[in-house]
Amino acid sequence: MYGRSICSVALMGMLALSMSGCASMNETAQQSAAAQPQPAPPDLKLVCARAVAIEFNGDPGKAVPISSAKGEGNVYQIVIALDQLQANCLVNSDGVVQSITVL
Amino acid sequence: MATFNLRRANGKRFLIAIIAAASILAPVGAAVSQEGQGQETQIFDASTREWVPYTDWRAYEYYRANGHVPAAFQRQIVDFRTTERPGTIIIDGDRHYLYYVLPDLKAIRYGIGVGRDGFGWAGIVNVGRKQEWPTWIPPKEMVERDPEAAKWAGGMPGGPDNPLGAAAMYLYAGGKDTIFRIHGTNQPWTIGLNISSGCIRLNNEDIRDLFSRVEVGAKVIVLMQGASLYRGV
Repeated sequence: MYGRSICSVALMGMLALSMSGCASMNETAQQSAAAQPQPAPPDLKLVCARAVAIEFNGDPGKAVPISSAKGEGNVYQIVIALDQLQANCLVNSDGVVQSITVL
Repeated sequence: MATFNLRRANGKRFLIAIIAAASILAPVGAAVSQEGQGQETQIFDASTREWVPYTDWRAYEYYRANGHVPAAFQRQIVDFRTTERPGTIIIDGDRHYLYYVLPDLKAIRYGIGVGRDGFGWAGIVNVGRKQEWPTWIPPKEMVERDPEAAKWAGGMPGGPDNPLGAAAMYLYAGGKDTIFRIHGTNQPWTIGLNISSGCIRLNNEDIRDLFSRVEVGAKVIVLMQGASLYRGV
């Protein structure tokens, strides 16, 4: 009987482990999808595109993010193409544009 | 939105890897790690306890074993900060996601397959027309090099074997067909890969869902790291 209890505990432990593994892996799938230092998230790219269009009185429909990289802290550097112009936009993860400079 | 995940996920990755490795149920973990074009998407392989590249072969094996793509590429509603109007489509080619903007800073996120190296592009276009079970006409270059495609030079009727899948939305710029489409697929395991000639592919269930929501004329913003800007055919 004692042995059976140990088995039961072990089985429940394995089950819990399996279940927690499933739950964690589901969670991971979403979190690690954005886990690596990598291009800026699309919402930040679009914030910069709009800011550059406004800054240079351009058509927001023609401002396109073409490259990006994560910089120091929570700041992203995003290059925006607007007609013949290219601008470098720094934006933080809250979506606050810090600077825009023409390249 | 994404940055919040980024901060948390960096610190959690090792712990998550241990939990995934402890699972005796999953031959291949469902976790996906994605990076930009020129880098790679990775998947956790519980049998070897390593993050490995999410290659064509691994994507096929994963789909064959599980009957679906990894959770990250499955349709879901997410928070999405944007000033774009509801109904706009935003494509993040780097992470293999398509967002359909909803009201109240939400979006439906779909997993997608995008253009392979040299075939990616970026730009702002719109949906020019929509078609269910579209006819597929292989490009001339494909007809010349692929005898299988040559059989359909005159057009392959819509159906389960058609590479465009259950529906297509034709992308236009300045009133002209760009030759790029958002479409379904007869190869559902290719979601999450850089595999197409520039079209955006979803699995058939997702393309049906998107098709039912999108209106002709909808704005489509295509973002892709390092890709050339669409400047017309």
